[in-house]
Amino acid sequence: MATSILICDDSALARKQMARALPASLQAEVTFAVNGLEALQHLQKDKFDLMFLDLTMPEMDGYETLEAIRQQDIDIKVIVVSGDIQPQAQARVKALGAVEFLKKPVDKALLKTLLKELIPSEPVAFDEVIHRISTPALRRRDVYLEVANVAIGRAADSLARHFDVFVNLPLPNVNVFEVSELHMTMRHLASNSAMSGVCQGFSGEGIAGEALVLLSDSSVKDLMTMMKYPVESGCDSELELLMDVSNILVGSFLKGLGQQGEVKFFQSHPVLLGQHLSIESMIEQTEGNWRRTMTFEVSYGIEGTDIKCDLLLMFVDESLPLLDNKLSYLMDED
Amino acid sequence: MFALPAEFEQFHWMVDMVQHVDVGLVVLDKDYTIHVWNGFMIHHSGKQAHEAIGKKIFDIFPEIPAEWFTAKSKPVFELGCRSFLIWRQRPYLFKCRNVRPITQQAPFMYQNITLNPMTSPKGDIDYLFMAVEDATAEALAEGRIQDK
Repeated sequence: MATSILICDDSALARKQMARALPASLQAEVTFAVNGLEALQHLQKDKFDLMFLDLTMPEMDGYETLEAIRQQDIDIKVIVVSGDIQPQAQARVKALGAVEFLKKPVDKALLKTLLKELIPSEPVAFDEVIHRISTPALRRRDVYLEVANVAIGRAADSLARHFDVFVNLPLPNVNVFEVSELHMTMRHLASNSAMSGVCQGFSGEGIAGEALVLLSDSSVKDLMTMMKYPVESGCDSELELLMDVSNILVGSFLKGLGQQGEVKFFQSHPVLLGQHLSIESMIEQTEGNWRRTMTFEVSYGIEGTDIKCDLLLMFVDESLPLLDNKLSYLMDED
Repeated sequence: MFALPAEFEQFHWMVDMVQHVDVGLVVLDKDYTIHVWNGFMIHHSGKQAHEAIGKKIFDIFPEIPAEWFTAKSKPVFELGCRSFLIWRQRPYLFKCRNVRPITQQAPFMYQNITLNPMTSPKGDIDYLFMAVEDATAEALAEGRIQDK
C-alpha cells in the first residue's frame, strides 16, 4: 500500500531534500506544495496520510497553516520541518497540533524511526519495483536560499537563547549585487532615523567576506530597556549591546552556513562603522575595490516589539566559485 | 627530500611559538581557572606563570568584573561562537603596566581580546582560549586625530 505524503515548503531544495529523505520502503506518493495556501487546497481535495510542513513561507506560513487545518477540521498528521529551532517555535507548533518537530536538514535515521511509529508499514516484497521520487531541477539561487534559511534559523535560536526572547524569523534574500545596488539595499533598509553599524570580516578555506549588522537607534534603545543590561561604570553599554548582537548573529549564521558547506569560518574583530549615523555616512565608508558581491540579506525582528536588526552577509568576487563548489553537493545528489 | 622533524620536536616548536609570540594567550576552563599563561602575559602583567596557573582569573585580577566577563564568555561556551572585547568597549581587561617609556605614551596597554571556543575531540566545549592583542597604537592614533 502506498503512503500519500504532502510536502509543503517554499524552497525547492528543501522539498527535494525532504522527498529524498523518505525511505524507499515507504512507497510514498509525494505531492508538493510551495506554501500553506497551496497545501490547504491539496488537503481539501485529497486525503493524505502525512504532511511535512515548513514554518517560514510566503503567502501563508506554517503556523497559519496549522491553525487553518485545525479550524477546518482536516484529519492529517503534520510533522513540522523547520530551520527555526527556537524552543518556543517547537512548543508553539506542538500546541497547534503538530505531531512532531524535525530540524532542518532532516536527520534520515531519526525520520525513519519516527515514520515507523506514525505509519504502520508493510514489508516490501522482493519483486516490488522501488521507484525514486522525481523532483524538480534546482537553480543555484534555490540552494543558496535554503542554505541561508537553515543558517538564519540557527542564528535566531542563538539570539533567542542568549537574550531570552522570541525572534520572528524572516525570509532571507540572496542576490548578486553590484556596488550601487548594495547601496540601494542599504538605503532601503535604513528608511528611518539614525543607525549604528558593526562590520565583521570572516574567512574560511579561502572563502572570505564581510558581515554588516545594522541596528536603528530606536531599536538599540528598546533592546537596552528590554535586556536590563548590566551597567558598568565607565563603559558604553550601548556599544556592548551592539557588539553582542552582532557577534552572536554573525557567529551563529556563519556556523550554520559552515556546517552545511563543511567549512569552518572564523570571524575577525568587529569594527564599529559608526554609532548614531545617517545611512549615507555609512555608505560612504563601504566603497571598496570590489565589483560584485553575493549578499545574504536578513531582517530579524523581536516579537512584541518594533526592534529590527538587519544582517547583510557579503561574499566578494573570488569567494563565489569556491562557495559554489562547497555547496554543489546539494545540487547534484543523483 | 623534505621531511618534518620528529613529533616531539614539532611539539617543542609549538610551545616555543606560544611562549614567544607577541600576543597574550590564556586558556580558561568553565570555572575561570587559568590553565595556560604565555610569555606575553608574564611580561606585560607582571604575574609569573606559577602565580597564575591553577588560580581563578578573578582572584588574580580583581579589576575584571566577574559578572560582565561571565556574560561575555557565555556565547563561547554555549554557542561555540567567538566573542570579542575591543578597546572601545573597555580599554583593557588586564591592567598592564607601561613598559615602553618613549614610544608608548599611554598609562596602560589598550587591548583587543578574542575569546575562542576550544572544541574537544568529542565536540564539547570545556575550555576557551583568550588572545590578547596590544591595541595601544590604534587607540592613541585615534585619540590624536580626535584631539586635533
